[in-house]
Parts: sequence; structure tokens; C-alpha cells
Amino acid sequence: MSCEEWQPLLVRAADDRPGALEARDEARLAAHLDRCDHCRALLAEQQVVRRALAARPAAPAPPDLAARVLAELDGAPHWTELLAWRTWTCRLAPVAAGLLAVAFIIGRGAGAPEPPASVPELAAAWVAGEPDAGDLPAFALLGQDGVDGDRLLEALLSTAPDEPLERQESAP
Amino acid sequence: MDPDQALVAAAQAGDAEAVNALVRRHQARIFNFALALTADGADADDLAQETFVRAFRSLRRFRGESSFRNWLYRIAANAARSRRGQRARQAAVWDERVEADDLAERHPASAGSSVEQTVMHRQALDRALASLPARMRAAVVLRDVEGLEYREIAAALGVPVGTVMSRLFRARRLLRPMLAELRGQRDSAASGAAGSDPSRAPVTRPALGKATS
Repeated sequence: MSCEEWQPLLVRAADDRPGALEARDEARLAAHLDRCDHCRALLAEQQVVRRALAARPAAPAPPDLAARVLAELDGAPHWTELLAWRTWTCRLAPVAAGLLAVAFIIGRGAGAPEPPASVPELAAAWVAGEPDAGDLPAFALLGQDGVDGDRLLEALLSTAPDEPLERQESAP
Repeated sequence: MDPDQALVAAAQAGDAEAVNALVRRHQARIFNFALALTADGADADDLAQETFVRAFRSLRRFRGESSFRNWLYRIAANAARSRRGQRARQAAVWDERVEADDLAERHPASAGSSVEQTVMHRQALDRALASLPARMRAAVVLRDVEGLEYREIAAALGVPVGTVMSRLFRARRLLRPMLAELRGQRDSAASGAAGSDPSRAPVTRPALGKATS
């Protein structure tokens, strides 16, 4: 058995307490130490360092630590909590459905479209049915004059969920 | 049985007073663990706060497989590791006079030269610990400073017990010459050479207890 293999027992033996080693291991180690100066020196080294660190004076904790922890916990929710997306999805589903219904009802009652003077160019093109504007994100139509409910609903239902987000990110 | 069981259950049910009690019960050991890991008062302060905040934000996931105390150690070790990943560590030197003042403010009865010596002794040990590779440092602090059992350290660090033993052995080997040097410095300080070493000149550090974002 090489000296390296005694290392785990030397660590335990440095604990300076009865029962740190099982009786059998203690006898084996004692026999080895009797004939190995190197391991005897290693054990002394382990003991000296362990005792020095055990005597490290403790520092008092900052007096306002608990108050700061409580204040931070009372603050805005952390992003890890926001990641509980299942909860959010479940909670927001009825709201989304309600918004859709409201948009639909308002849209149907809007009557004939007015001239699209204040509508951005793309939205206007989309409303006019120009083929190049076919992928306009639905959210761009929300709140715009001259967009009727049927158009809006169609846009919402036919737009892939990620599409508006990608468009936002790729915007200059 | 975990002595914190009742408080943890109350905290899980949303009792803020239980949270407060748990922080107060464990703040000294977590702060000292953080201090031994970072050797910097401001960093240790931040790390201790982060540890408790992380713990209570994920308290619902605590199932009592380990004691609450050891769970905190594990969170602190993980938080320290992710902080090291975020920025390169620099050897930190405390302003010893400032810390001595802090101590005297918190414990007026213990103010005086013995307090300064105590502070300097701890700082020297912490600097030696801070020079160790991070994995060894966490193991040797949990064992020799905090007094955890080997299997508890293994659980806190997420490694086998054999790895803990190996890290302990190597950490102590590396620390031995540094502690011998420390003893030499203390002996020469005791014989009148204190304060003559320019490397121990105080530098400014952020105040303890600073507001954190």
C-alpha cells in the first residue's frame, strides 16, 4: 500500500477525537506510522492546520442582514418566480380570451372603415389587402383607426405566436 | 430531527416572523462561511444576503432531506461559485482599522487592542484560505471552520465523500506553509515590529452593511 493510499485515513486521524477511525483502521494506520516518517509528518501537518482553522475567531454578522433579507424578499418578484410560466399562463388565459372577445365586439360595431389617414403605411396596405403586406403582425393593427373587427380577428388567429416578438427584436 | 423544522414549516406557510428568526439564527455562521470563502467583508455581506434570499425564494422546494443549516451552506457554496464565474476574483485586502472599528461599534465591551488582534488573526487566516483553489477552500472551511461531518460536506458540495477527503488533504497541505508564515509574522509583531510591514498598509474597502441592489 503506497503512502498516497493512506491519505483518507490521515485526514480522519487528524480529527483528534475518539472514534474518528474504526478500530481496525486505527491499528493499521498506527503500524504504518511506526515505520513511515513521511506519513507521520503528513499527519502532524494535517493536525496543525485543522487546529489553526478550528481556532479561527468568528466575525459578527452585519447587524442589518436580517432586515435587508426581509426587505429584498418583500420587493419585486425575482425572475425565477416569473419563470413559473405555467402559473402565469393559467392565470392569464381568461384575460386573453376576454380581450379577444372585447376586440371582436368593438370591431363589429365600428361600421364602415374611415380613410386610413393615421394608420401607418404597412397597416394601411394590409387593410387594403395588398399581397406584400400579408405578414403584418396582428398587434400592429390594435387601436388603429380604420381596422375593422373581422380583419383584426383574422390577423390574430392567423399569426404565429412568436411572430410579433421576432419582429420586435429584429427592428432597428 | 432538524431543530429548525417548526420554523421552516411556518416560513413555508408565509410567516415573515419565522423567516426573520431563521435568518437571525443562522446569519453568523453563513456570514462567517461567506467571509472565509471570499476574504472580503463587503463580498461576504452580499453573499450572505444572496444566500438567504435564494433560500427563502425556493423554500417551497426544501423537503428536509438535509438540515436547513446544511441546505443554507449548499446554497452559499453554489452562490459563491456562480459569483466566481461572473467576475475574476482579485485578492482582497481589508482595511483592518475599519473592521476593528466596526467590531468595536457592535461589541463596545470588547473594544481595544485584543479586538484588533482578533480581527487581524482572522483576516490572516481568511487570506490564506482565499489563496486556495475554490473547491478545496469550500471543503476545508466547512470541515475545519464550520465543523460539518464529511457526509454533510459531500451533500453540501454535491460530491462523493472520497472527493471531500481528497480536497481536505490537499487544502491542508497547501495551507501549512502559509500558516507557518503567519505565525512568523505574529511572532515578529509581538516583538515590536508591528506596523512596519508596508504590505499590511490599510486600503479602502466598501463599508459593511452597505445597501445592495
